[in-house]
Order: sequence, then C-alpha cells, then structure tokens
Amino acid sequence: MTTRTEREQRTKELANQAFGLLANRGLSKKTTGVDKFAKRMIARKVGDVPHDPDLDHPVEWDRPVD
Amino acid sequence: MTLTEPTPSDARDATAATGERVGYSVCTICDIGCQLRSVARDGQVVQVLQHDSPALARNVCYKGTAAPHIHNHAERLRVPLKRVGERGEDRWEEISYEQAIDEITERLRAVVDTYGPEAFAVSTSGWNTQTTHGVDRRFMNLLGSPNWISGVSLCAGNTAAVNRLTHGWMPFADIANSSCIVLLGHNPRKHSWTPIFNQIEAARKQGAVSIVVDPRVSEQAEKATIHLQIRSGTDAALLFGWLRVILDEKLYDADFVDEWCVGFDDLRARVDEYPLDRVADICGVPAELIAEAARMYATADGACIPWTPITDMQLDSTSAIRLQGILRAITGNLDVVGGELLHGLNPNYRTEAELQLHDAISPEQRAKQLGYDTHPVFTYRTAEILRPHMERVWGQPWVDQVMGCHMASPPEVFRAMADGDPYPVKAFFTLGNNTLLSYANQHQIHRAMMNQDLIVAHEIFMTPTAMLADYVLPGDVFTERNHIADSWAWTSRLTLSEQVVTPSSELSSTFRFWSDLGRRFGFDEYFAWNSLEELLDHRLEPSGRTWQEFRDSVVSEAPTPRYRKYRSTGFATPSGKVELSSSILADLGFDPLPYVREKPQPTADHPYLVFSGVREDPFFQTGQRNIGVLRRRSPSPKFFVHPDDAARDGLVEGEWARLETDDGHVAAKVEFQSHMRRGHVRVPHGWWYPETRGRVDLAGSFVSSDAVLTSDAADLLDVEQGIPHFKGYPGRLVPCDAPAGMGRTTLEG
Repeated sequence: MTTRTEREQRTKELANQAFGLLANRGLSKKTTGVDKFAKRMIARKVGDVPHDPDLDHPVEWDRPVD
Repeated sequence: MTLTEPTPSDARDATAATGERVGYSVCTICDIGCQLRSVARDGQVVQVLQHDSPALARNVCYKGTAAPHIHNHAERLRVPLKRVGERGEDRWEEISYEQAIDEITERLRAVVDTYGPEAFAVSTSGWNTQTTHGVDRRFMNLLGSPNWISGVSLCAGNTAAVNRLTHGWMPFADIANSSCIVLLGHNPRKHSWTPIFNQIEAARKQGAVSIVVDPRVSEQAEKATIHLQIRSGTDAALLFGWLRVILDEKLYDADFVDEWCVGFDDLRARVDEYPLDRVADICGVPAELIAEAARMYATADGACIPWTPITDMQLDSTSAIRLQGILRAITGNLDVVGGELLHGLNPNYRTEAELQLHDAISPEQRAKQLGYDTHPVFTYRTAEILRPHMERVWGQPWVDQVMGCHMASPPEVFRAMADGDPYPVKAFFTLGNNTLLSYANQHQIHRAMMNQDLIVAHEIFMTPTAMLADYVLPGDVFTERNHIADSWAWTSRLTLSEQVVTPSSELSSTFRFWSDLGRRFGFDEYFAWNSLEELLDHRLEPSGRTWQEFRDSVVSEAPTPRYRKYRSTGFATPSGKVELSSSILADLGFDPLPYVREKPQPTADHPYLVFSGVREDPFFQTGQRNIGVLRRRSPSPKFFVHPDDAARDGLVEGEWARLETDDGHVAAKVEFQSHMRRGHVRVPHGWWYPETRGRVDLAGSFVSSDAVLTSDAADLLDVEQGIPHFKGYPGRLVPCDAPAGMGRTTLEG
C-alpha cells in the first residue's frame, strides 16, 4: 500500500463511486431508464447464475430427527 | 394498549387470496444476512430462491434454502407457555399472549421494586431475531437497567468496541477490490459466511493473494498463497512479528503515520520486544515464512484483514484486535479502495442506537453496568469516553456497531445472577439466544438461571435455555415480518426484507414484545408506534420516504461511497488520529499498547490444545439440530484430531471419545484429520440433542456443548474486555461409550 500515488487513489475512488451508483440502480425495483441499463450491465458482467444443486435438500432427509 | 394486530395492510393483501407471493428477504438463519427471495403459498413459506439479481444470486447457502423446513417445522413454538413444574422440568400450560405479558409485567415489576432496575438482565442475539429496532434497550434504559448482554461480546460486537479504541470505527473489508486478503483463522466456505466466501473467490480470480493463519489446513488454507499454521491462540504474537518486519524494513506508509497516527515511537519500542525468532518460537512457524507474509501484506496494492471470530475469543483478544487495526493503519489501508472501509452511518435511516435512548438511563445506573469497573472496553464506561468523539465524526454520541458497544460483561452478569455478587440479578430475559450454551462456563450459567425469580424466553423452538424459563413466548421469523436491514451499522447499506406470511396473533416480534411491555410499565409515549411499519416510517423519516415507498422502489441501496473521510473529520478517537497507543486504555488504567499474554499450555496429563467455538456448515450457533435436512448433513458432533495423536490415545475414527478439561468434559465422535496441527483438538460449537427432550436432562445440553469446557475464571479472561479464552486450552481425549439416551440419528447417522 505504500506504492499507490494520490492520482491512483483518486482514480480508484472515482471508479468505485461510479460503480456504487450503478449498483443502486441495479438493485432497485424500477425496470426502466437508467435502472434498466444498470441491470443489463450487471447481468452482462456477472452472467447467468444457474441453479446450484448443492442448495437442494434430499427428500429422504426431510423427516423428524430421531 | 397492546399491539395485538401484527398484520399490516400489505400482508393482508398478500395473503387474502391463496395465490403465491414472492418477496425479497434478508435471511436470519445465520449472522450474514444473505439476500434471498421467499415464496409463500396458502399462508406458508414454501421455497427460498436465489436472488433475481445475478450480482447477489450466489449469496445463499443450504441453511437459507432450509428456511421452509425451519419456519413450518412441527415443533415450532406457536402458543405462549407458562411453567407449571419445577424450573427446568419442562412442564407447561398454554396461555394467551395477553396473559403472558400481564403476568410478566407484574413479576418484573416485583423484582425491580425489590432489588432495583439493575436486577433485570437481558441476553439476546440480534443475528437470530434480526432486529429489535433498539426497543429492548429503550425499555431497559427507561427502566434503568444497563445489564444487556449478547453473544456478540464473543463475536464481532467486541471487535467493534475494540476497533473504536484504535481508529474510531469498525471497518468493513473491501475484499472485492483487494489485492491481498488475510484470514486469521477465519474460514469462509460455500455454506458458511457465503457472501464473504464468494467475494474472496472473485478477488482471487482477479489476482488477489491470500494469507491464511490457522492451526488447521482449512478449506481457505488449501487455497492460500501463504499458510501460517500457528499454534492455536498465538495470533497476537504473529501480528507482532509482522509489525517487526514492516517497521524494520520501512514497509509502512510513513506519510500516513506522520499525519494521522499517534504513539508510533511507543509502538516501535513495544514491537522491539518481539524479535522474529521469539515470535517464531511462540507461534511454531518459521521466521522466514512470517516475514514473507508480512511483506506480502504490507506491499500489496490494497490489503485487508476481514473481521475474524478467532481473535474475538482469546486471552489477549483486545491486543490481537488492536494489532489488526494498527497494521491496517500504518500500511495505509484504512478507508481506501481495496483496504478496509469506514462506512459510517446511513443518513437516510435512524440507527438502533438512536432509538435506544441511552441518555434516558442515568449516569449512576450506567455505572452499575456489570463489567463497567472491571472489564470496561465494551461497556458504557468506554462509550461515555468516546461519546464526544463519536458525535464529532459520526454525528451521534451513542453510536453503536454490531450491537457491541454498550454491553455488560456476560461472566459478571451470570455471577450476579448466581451469587448476588456484586448485587443480585433476579430477572432474566433471553431472546433468540440459547443462553445456556452460548457463553463460557455453562455450569455457572445453569446455576445463575436456577437462582432467578423470573425468566422469560422469546424463541421459535424450545431450547434448553427456554426449558429453564417461567414463560416462553413464540417469536416470529424473517418471512413473517417487514424489515429494512442496516447490517447493524457495520456498513451503510439498506436492504429490503418483506413479509410474505402472516403470523398468528399468538406469535410476537421482538418489537411487539418490548412495546407491549413498555406500555404496561407506563412508557406509552416512548412506544407510540402501533405497528412495525410505523416504526420503519419513523426510521426512514430522514430520507423523506415511508416504508411503503421504500418497499415499492428499493431492493438494496447504499450511499455513494466516500473514501479517506478522516481527512475532513479526523478519526473518532480522543486525539482525532489513529491511536497506536490508546489514550482510552491508558485512562482506564490498562496498558495502552498491545501485548502478548502467555496462554495455557498442554501438560503431560492434558496433552492437547483445545480450540472450541467452531462453526459447522449446517448449523448456526446452537440452532438447527432439530431440522432433518440440516442435521443429516452432520448427525453428531465430531472432535477433529490428527491421526498420530489419535493412535497414541487409542482413539478410533467414528467412535466416541470424552474430552476432559479442568472445567468439565464432553463427548463427541472422533474424526481423523491429517491436516490438523498435531497436539490440537477442534471442538464444534453449540451441540445439544433436541430429539432427546423428555428422556435426557435439558435435551442433552451438558453432553457435548463446548460451553461446558470453557472457563470464566478471572485469570482466563481477556483483561480489558473480560471475554474468555476459547482458542487453546489444555485437554485430554479418552475413548468412551456413546452417551446415554442418544437417538438413532446421532448414533447411526
């Protein structure tokens, strides 16, 4: 951390501030305008998240603990 | 007036038809608060889905998707219960909520009239209850009791309090932008601390390195760039070693130190007491590897040491936490991108601390808080010192983070409950907190609870702690309440959580419970909100929005991040700077600099170093052992031991063993782990056996619970905070038979 210049600090800060604004729009309930754009940007960046079978619970386990 | 109507209009709309309803949720099955979607049909939650934003969709674990199994469980408490047998006999009559609140009011009033308000203590876990919106402390402050305790005294809350000594705020690691992630015993996994795990994975993909400090070759250690396999409990010494390298090789941010730190020369002198050879000897790790890790951390372009529970539970916890703060400060990683962010408060949402009315309790009553004189760091005594500095920087005098900054000392509360020392505590309320198994010295806690005039438990299941109560009130769950989660001021993000199921009128939220109690005590004007939604309106008032407007527009939002804010405000410490040497600790009569305390060592009779308080993926704290789909992932508790140690002691994998310490013994099955450091045994946290209720005393809560093993003796407490030592104390393992009364799941699963 001793190597980052003031200019580099500011550049990183600005980039993350912009990302913060975008994230808020991406996590709103509005689906038009800038919010729609932000949601598309996030979807493009992250890609599809398929269902994770690890999250499913075997049916045979759903019985009382005895 | 009683809040008998927990059904806001939107919930009525949602459940008026038998149609499906999908709402955004913040999960409370563990402490992370993952964002999910809950699906309800016919008045029941039937499914938990991954979030519909791909940015959040991976943040869910199999505990979260088990929510329908938990929330609809046949054994869930549905009706208030009143004890009819002897305390702990687990015999009950069903009564109405109204009757319960009336009788509790009368009996609590009797205790307060006889012994004073300080004779009333509360233990709660905000992780489990999600929020009280501060109304628990509000009631206590109006009444005059300072004796509120929580499991956060051992887990994150105490880190918050200690961090404030050094840099005035508990930071949140900016893992996503970090180039170097340091995990001190912390082991985020796919199904434990899931969002943190995902952030670390993503950072690694972008090239971040990681340093893992852990006696085990944990899952994170397997992926680490450097793994320092230290002796359990030697974290503080290791961090001194890092400081030695960083100072000697001038790898610190000299400009930041000059401008924003005080006490550097004193720190330098203290660090000189820890040459690398000495550190290596204490930690059991080669000096060269310690130095390599220190250089990697100090020279990274943005490095973080995310919060860890490990240093929250050690004999020199205060020093170990402060050393992390010192490292992040002198390496220039405070409040910068990729370092550790001091988020501050969200100006659009009133904080719980503000609602708690800490000015309503008199200074004299605050000074009666147990621990105030002896172990004051997370008590009112330190909060009082910090009050003007918090106001200067964060705009509020009683700022709290992670519920950890105005607490009483748990061991002292239990001592007062058990022995009346220094004064009697005779009424005890426990909410979402299986108190008996959740702190050190379970025997003392049991004795304390048996010596009460009144115990009230507010829970979703009958726990061993609730079995000791006079009244058990059924609580609600996250799918049954509206909420805006604020991460307890750790970050400034606000997240929507929607009610999708209408609870019955006999269930109560913590808000409803405390409000009804407050009104019966005559504090009507302070409990004027008739519904949770009215309170949410109040909390949102600074934003100019109502709950309904928030709910209609926001899923999650945070203020635009601002960095290096200290340049305009200073730090919220007495000097306004990062206090490498703490003026508050000096004022309190403690060593202002960090130090290393000698830890308990193995002996010929007790050859293991035991580390306990360890989380397992299927469970959070003492919960979920009654949930089939989770319990069958880990049917019985297990001691992890190295095969060589096991062979020496005649232990057989899969068979039972008894772990004996100076303070007690517990049983669990043996599991060989060749990645364990030799001479160490790992004990899982919080085990009891709900299925044995009625045939084993207190459902087996003394059979395998790690709290039986741990001590709250004065010489085994961290001096400044008074928290116990869970990470390395002597014990021995001997083969034994399976404990009596165990069921098929435990024995055969």
